[in-house]
Amino acid sequence: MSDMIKCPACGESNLSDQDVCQYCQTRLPDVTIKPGQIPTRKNTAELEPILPQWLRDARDSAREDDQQGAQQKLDQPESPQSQAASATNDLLAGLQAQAGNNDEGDMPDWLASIMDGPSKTTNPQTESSDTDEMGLAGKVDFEDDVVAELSSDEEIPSWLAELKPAEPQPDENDGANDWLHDLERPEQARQSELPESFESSFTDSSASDTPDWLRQMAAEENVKNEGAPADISADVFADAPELSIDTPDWLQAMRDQEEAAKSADSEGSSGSSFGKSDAAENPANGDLTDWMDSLPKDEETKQGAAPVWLSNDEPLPLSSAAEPGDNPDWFNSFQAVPAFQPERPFAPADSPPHAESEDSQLSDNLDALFTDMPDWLSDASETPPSSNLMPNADMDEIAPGDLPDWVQAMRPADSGDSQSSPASLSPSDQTLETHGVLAWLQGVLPAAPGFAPTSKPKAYSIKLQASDEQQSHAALLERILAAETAPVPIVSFSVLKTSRALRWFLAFIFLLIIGIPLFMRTQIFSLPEGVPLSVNGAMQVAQSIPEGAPVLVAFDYEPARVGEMEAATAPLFDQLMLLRHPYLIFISTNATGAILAERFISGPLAVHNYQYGIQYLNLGYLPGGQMGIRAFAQNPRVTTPSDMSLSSAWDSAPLEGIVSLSQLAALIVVTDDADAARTWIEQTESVRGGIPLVVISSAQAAPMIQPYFESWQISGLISGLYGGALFEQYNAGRPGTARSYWDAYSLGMLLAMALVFGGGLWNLILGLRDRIAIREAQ
Amino acid sequence: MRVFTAVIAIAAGVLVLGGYFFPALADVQTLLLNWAIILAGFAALVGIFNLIAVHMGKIRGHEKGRTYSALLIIGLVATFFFGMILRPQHAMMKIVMNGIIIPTEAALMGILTVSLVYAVIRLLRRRADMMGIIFLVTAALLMLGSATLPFGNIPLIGTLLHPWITQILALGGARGILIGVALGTLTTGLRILFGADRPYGGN
Repeated sequence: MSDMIKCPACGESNLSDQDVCQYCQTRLPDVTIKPGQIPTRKNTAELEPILPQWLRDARDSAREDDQQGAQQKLDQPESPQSQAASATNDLLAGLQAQAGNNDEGDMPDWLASIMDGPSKTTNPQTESSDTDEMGLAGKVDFEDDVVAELSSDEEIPSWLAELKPAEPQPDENDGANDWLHDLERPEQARQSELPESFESSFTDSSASDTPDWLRQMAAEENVKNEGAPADISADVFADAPELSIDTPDWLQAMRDQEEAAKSADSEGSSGSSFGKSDAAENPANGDLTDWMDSLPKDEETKQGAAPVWLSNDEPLPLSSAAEPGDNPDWFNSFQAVPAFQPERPFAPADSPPHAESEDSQLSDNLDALFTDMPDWLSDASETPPSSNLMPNADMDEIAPGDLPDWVQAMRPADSGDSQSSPASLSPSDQTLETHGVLAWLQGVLPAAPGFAPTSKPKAYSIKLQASDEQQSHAALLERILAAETAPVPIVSFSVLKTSRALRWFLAFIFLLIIGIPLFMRTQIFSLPEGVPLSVNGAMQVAQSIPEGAPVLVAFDYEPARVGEMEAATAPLFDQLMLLRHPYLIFISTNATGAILAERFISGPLAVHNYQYGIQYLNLGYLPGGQMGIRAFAQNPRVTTPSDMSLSSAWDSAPLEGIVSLSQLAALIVVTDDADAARTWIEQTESVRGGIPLVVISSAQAAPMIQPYFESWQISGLISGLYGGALFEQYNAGRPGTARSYWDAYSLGMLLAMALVFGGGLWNLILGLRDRIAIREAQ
Repeated sequence: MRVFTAVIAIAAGVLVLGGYFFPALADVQTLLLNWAIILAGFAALVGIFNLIAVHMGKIRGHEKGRTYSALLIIGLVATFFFGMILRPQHAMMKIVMNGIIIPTEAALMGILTVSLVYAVIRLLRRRADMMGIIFLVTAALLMLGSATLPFGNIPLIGTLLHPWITQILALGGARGILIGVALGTLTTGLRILFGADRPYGGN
């Protein structure tokens, strides 16, 4: 029961899956509107291609009939009813313009004749209503249209022209028609009546086309504003809709002004009457013109002058309101499709009403006529179908022979079924078409807002319908995401246990292997052979030092390396002290260097019996690192004025007459630190001149000092016990310190090499075994 | 204040640097360097007092190892006063040097020898990659080439392989290191001179 479709022809309910009605075999409409769906706005022009040909033919024939009828009406004198129909058409023409339908091809001839014909007739009141509507559209349109239309001499509508001789009161008639007569006056006479300010406010073209009453209104506004320099024309036109309604006494003022103008013509003065006439305004008469005031007072005049459709309060019968052929097609479509509303409704029925008064009742009625839908139109849509079920035979002007057979068969007028079952139809489907090809068809064009869903929305299960493959893919995705978020353990190596036994074994074996040759003073191993260039350079320096020349010696090594450094240094100094007897000046950038120098002189070189202050001098500790070395090289006397015993160093025999490093015979740097050697080499290079520099270093620092020898920045290099042993061979084996250490040194090196090589290979095998075991365990 | 210190540092650096190139600035350079030597000596003295203060704090706080702190302070003060009174050339000071300082530091070097051999032996147990093997083989060859046999140098290793390693490979590596040090020193010096680096304080 939820999916049922009601047949538009017979009203019976059918299943939704059926295409044709099971009762009348009528094709069921496709229900495309779903519950909750908002109907979209469509252009009816899009439906033109799908319109059946017979409907097009019917429309064309209706147009031809309309044209013929209009031609006949033009030939015949207009009756009040025809004038009313004309006015209605004019009103609908405005609706057509508001709806934006610019299709002039569909414009009927009667409308074209009104808008474009030379004999265009415009009712002033209608003009006022138009002014109201145009005032909403914009000031520019209002200016163009109103000024142009008011300036024309043919603005008097025919029905108004007929109204004029029927005026029973000549005095009021004068007031109503004075401005119309004034339009016929010469332009110069009207120009002379205008004040200067008002005249200057208009352009040339507008001034010549503007009627006097409008100029007078502007002048009054100008007088009220006392010379306000604003654009009067814009203000007047902007306020024109209100003035057309709220200026009841401007016609009275114009009448007075007319009389004043006539007298002014004779007297040659004008303009001052504006203020007087303005001051003489009567507020009690201010809402209606005189001729309109007369309308509610004189019923006969109203009946005789106004159109019939204006005077009738009762709605006109549909048959007498207008011929069906007189209604344009667009109006019929407007009536049939109420869902499509124009953007701007031409009749603002819900607009706030004007202030009501008994005097202005007729004016309001007139406004309502131009703003609201006429009664005969509203009755046509509001009349119950039962009251108009009988169609007018004159309205159905389409020949039955033009309709297809199946349409003929569907016409309920022939069968009378539409009358038989009205109760089965819903109220929204009870609209009975009274004319046209759809006459006697009920519910053919259902109103969209009345459509309501007849079935409940289908219930769908919220349970996920997934296949096995999709579920497997989802499970795979979940595993991937879980793997991404799972913490990854950090790979760590197994900590090897410290082999205390191995350490003790190594210590024991080293002490044994090294201790035995030292204590036994064995000389089994031969000294190294071959003399490197660096050692050879040191030998040449030792041999080139003059006899008794001062030699600066920098002792910059740690006490831990005393054994290696003294063994490497002793052969050179032994040779120097033995052969050249130089003055030795010791200095150290290390805190313990000065004491190590004393130890060196009194230890391995004790045989030379050098005396402090006579043959050698110890300047002690030189603080500052690089800065101290640079300062000492720059000015040694200032940097180290005293020796280690706090006596004047530069007055002693070793340093007598020495003021700079360049006066020394040689510079020997004994260090176990490559940086210390580099500092001495670099900071003294610019001040030591041509004196040789020899570096005696440990085996550890030798590779970093070797480049200085390769670049000839130093004269010789003796590194470690190996270099001392080499130099000692060319010193006749003196003092023999290197030789006494060489067997222990060689055995220790061989032992260390054997332990490193054998132990490393053994541990490599063990490591591979552990890794294989771990892989097998994994 | 930071600008003031930066100006002083940069000006001192520029003057000392100019002393290397312009003889007219040699005296200014020497003056500034002597000031630096005095400040360095005073800094060493400050360091000694700081060392005493730290270990005195440990003693007062009854912290762990306060016995060694007490020995350190006692030895420092005794050496200082004996050195000031007796002078370094005194026999007592030579005994302190030859009987305490040199054997202690030499023993540390001996322990270092055993530790290095132990580490090299266990190296391939932990890290059996190509660089570990190369390091181990190179060390073994250099030790073998530095030693001699009773009949002379070890053939091929002592006469050819050892000199090639020390004079070619080691020298090349050392030169590269020295060039890097020189460039780093130059860059650091320029940054300090331009005020980009302010090791003396400030940003």
